[in-house]
Amino acid sequence: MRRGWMAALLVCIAMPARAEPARHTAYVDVLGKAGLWGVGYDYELAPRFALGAVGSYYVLGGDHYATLAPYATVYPVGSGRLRALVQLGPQLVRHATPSPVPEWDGMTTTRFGAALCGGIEYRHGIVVRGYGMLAVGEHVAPWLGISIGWAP
Amino acid sequence: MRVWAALALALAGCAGLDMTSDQPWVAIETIGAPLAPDGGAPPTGKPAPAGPLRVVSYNVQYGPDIPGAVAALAGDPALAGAHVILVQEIEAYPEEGATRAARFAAALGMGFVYVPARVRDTGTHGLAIISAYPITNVEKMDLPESEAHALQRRIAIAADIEVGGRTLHLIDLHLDTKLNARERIAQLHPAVIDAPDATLVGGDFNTSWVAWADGVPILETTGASDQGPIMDSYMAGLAFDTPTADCGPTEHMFGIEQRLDALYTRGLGATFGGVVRAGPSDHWPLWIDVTLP
Repeated sequence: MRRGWMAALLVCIAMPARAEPARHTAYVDVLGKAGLWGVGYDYELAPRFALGAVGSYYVLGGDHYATLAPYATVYPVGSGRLRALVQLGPQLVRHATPSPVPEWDGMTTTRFGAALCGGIEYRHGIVVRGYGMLAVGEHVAPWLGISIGWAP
Repeated sequence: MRVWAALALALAGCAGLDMTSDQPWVAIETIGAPLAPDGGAPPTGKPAPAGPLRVVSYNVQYGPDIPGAVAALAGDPALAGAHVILVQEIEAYPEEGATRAARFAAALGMGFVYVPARVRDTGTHGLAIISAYPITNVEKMDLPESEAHALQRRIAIAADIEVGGRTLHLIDLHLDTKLNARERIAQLHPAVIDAPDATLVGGDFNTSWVAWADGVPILETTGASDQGPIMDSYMAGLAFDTPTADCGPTEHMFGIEQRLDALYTRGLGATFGGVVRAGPSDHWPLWIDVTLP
């Protein structure tokens, strides 16, 4: 089974997708792998394979959330401007709750999880991605994200 | 649209509860319409238990199905032996006759006090304590609320349960849903900070693992955002024991289970009992055994 997946991945990587790939992509996520939002970058190592990471930091109601989510992307279907994508990678989340009262010191927690995403990418100078996601850690939940970026 | 508002709010890093105003305890005898409380004494003088006192916390999800809630308690051997039930999210409507808390208590053969938090439609929404023993010195506290989140009024009620010459002081509460941990602790703080040494605190703390961005849930599944352990840490910091810390989920909705409810004790012996996955509510009843000093 594992060999089958490896073979499929290698085939995807080896297949040509287009003549002149834009290898660098920088983008902003709304929702998605980094929680509420994120800033990301990925690099296309081969026409159907890219590595990247997205990170975020935000404060909600006084709680501080920092997330880093590296990932691998495979483009199994499509070419040129419109492609389907599958992304898989870990999530690292650090959550700090500063104490609002003097009787308690606050609390900071760091946890790992993973995210499996599937979606569509449109690329024509700008890059727009929409994806559904399964986030797995201590809990399991569906999630979604939209990426808007630029690929020079 | 709310996502964009949440993004702006998160980038600004603002929000928070108004902690500048005092949150006094108010004797319920001073509260009039439309939030007038209701109550009734236990029908018979029940002798003090030979063993520990069994205390249940149960959010009944508005309580439209009182017979179902009663069946959930009466049908479980552990819950059938409960002496005190802290009830959250119960309502009362004049067109129904007796309040839902009154009917719940009558079906269990117990006394009760019902304290509304807010008006809802033609009736009220609030908390109740149901007890086999007399309930005295009942007080209500309006908990702090956030202007940024347009929250619904949340309350805590404190009372003494008179058990055969001894007294159990307890606090029943229901915190807001869409709060992150720092705001949640700020909302809870005034209700517990001046509690007597020997106190039981229980209820629906809404300690979700979801992060909230201006009311938009952010499904952060790693567990880093879990508010249950944070609440336990805060209560432990006030010298409360955390007997339900490892109780597992107490609520289920849309296929997602969460630990939203808890019981904490200080100056009392406490043994965790269980979470009984029964009843018509989206919450399950949670119980512990308490030994009075």
